[in-house]
Amino acid sequence: MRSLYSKLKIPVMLVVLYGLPFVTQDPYVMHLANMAMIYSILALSLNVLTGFTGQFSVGHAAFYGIGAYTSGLITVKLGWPIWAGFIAAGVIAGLAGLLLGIPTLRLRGLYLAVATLGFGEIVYQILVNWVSLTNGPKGLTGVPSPTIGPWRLDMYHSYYYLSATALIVVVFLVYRLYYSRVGRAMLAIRENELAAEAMGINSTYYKITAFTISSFFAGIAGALYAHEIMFVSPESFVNAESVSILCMMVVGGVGSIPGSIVGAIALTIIPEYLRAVGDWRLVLYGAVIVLMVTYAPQGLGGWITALDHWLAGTGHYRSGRAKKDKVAAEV
Amino acid sequence: MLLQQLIQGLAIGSVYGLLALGYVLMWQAWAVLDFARGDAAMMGAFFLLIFNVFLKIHILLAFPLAIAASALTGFIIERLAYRPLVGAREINRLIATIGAGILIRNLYRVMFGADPFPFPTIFGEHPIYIKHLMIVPQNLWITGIGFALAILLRLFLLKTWRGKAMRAAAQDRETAALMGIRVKNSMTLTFVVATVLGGIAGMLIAPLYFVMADMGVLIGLKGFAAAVLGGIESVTGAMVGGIILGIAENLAGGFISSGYQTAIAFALMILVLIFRPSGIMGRRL
Repeated sequence: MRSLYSKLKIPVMLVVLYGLPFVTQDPYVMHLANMAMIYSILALSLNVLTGFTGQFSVGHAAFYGIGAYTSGLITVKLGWPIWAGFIAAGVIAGLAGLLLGIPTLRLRGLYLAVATLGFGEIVYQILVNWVSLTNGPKGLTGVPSPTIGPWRLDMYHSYYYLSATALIVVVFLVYRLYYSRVGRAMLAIRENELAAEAMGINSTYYKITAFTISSFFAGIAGALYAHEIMFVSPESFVNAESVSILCMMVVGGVGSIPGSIVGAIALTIIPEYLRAVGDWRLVLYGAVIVLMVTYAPQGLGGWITALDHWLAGTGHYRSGRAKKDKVAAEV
Repeated sequence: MLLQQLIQGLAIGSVYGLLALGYVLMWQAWAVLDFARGDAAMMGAFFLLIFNVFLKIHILLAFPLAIAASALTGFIIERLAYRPLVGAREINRLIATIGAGILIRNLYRVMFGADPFPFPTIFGEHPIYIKHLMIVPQNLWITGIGFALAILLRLFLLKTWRGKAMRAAAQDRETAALMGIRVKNSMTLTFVVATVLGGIAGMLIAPLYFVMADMGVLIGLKGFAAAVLGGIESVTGAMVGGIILGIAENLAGGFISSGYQTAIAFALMILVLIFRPSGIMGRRL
């Protein structure tokens, strides 16, 4: 029998998510809320790669940037409709991921991280230097805001419905992937690549698939960003951005879907609260990250799962995974 | 013109090489891609700035003092952000280095402000002319010191007991421990050596660039590209990678466009990854 908690869990979350604009329409708060949704999608997209296959990208801002510029350019310069921009953003970013993934994912270990680090820097330099296409450091202005039927989503609080819906769609797709045959194959690769291959899983194929899906979602997040602030400049896609996406995912917990969202929301909001301490803000941000990975290596996701089990009353949830990791590391 | 670019590339390349050595050491001993390498260079440059410019200590004394300060901070950072994560998952260790880098960089920004400090030239910047060739003594000094340090490190690793212990611990922790090597101490020593090398790279580059809290980000990435280029497992490779990167960058800046300098450095790195993943000097995978 399903408990009241598990029946109400999802409706309550949806009410909280969509209810936010009814509580406040303050542009600053709503802009932050939009950014939290966008970063959640980004952290989730990275989690498809890291949580599922164990590979990771240190240049995810590149795909985010490719998505933002693709959608921005084809709506501004070609005048295409915005939904076409969104699709193109995902497709082009996904293609870029595919092209980078094919040669580098054949290799084991940290090579993908290394290649994505370089790729991120190259994309940034191209965005800055290819002035005739991207307008260079000055950025691309006049990115239109979307309209749905009679509604024009040109305010932060109205745009929020779009970004929240986008997040829900991405979460749904990632869950579907997680429990699909493809997702299981990816998890098997993460746990033990050699054993997975022995079971007939083509690890390169699945790693490239994961990377392409991951960059596709990052591209969608980029388009979402471009139409939210209606302006794109290379400065939004610097290496530091990739690093913060990575931190959001790890603080949230590698492999945890709710963790990624909570991690992204926390690391979007915490720096804003820390503004009170002025320049010490980023010092504390760095310290929080070091402390999190040292003392809570499972991330927030581990706590969320524990809380979920406790609320659902499904026995005492013990973090067996953490112990296993420790034993494995000591061996 | 070509020779000019080559000489300049050689100087900047040996600085990249020193940073790349840090990456190689960290990769070997700690099995981590260390994102705080560039910040070690930044700290080194600041230490030299403090001792030489602020406290007006003669450069010959300021150098060893700055090196000692680098070693000490390296030790402290290792204790706080690296040692607790030995045995943690790969990605967690990587994130810890990112966090440590953000912390250090912004701590320096709080202490010294975001404005760049000019650094006086140490080695003399009046060029010597040999026919049409202009040689800046500074560049010769940087190249010389860079190479001397790389050779010293190689000798240390190959000939001394400590160096051999470090290599053994990097290769196989358990067996090294069984042979009576204190693996953790050896890892600490590796970290300190890497930090000092990075610090010296920062001190050498300080007169060429301004000293500022953010200076480590880009040169850290370049040093990393150099390490991958030469082969992340090889000490000689790090130096070779640094030189190739320095020269390629200068040629690209001179003949193609200075805007794409960095992009070309990384494109070169990705090409090497694709066609020869173990690097130019590394063994084939």
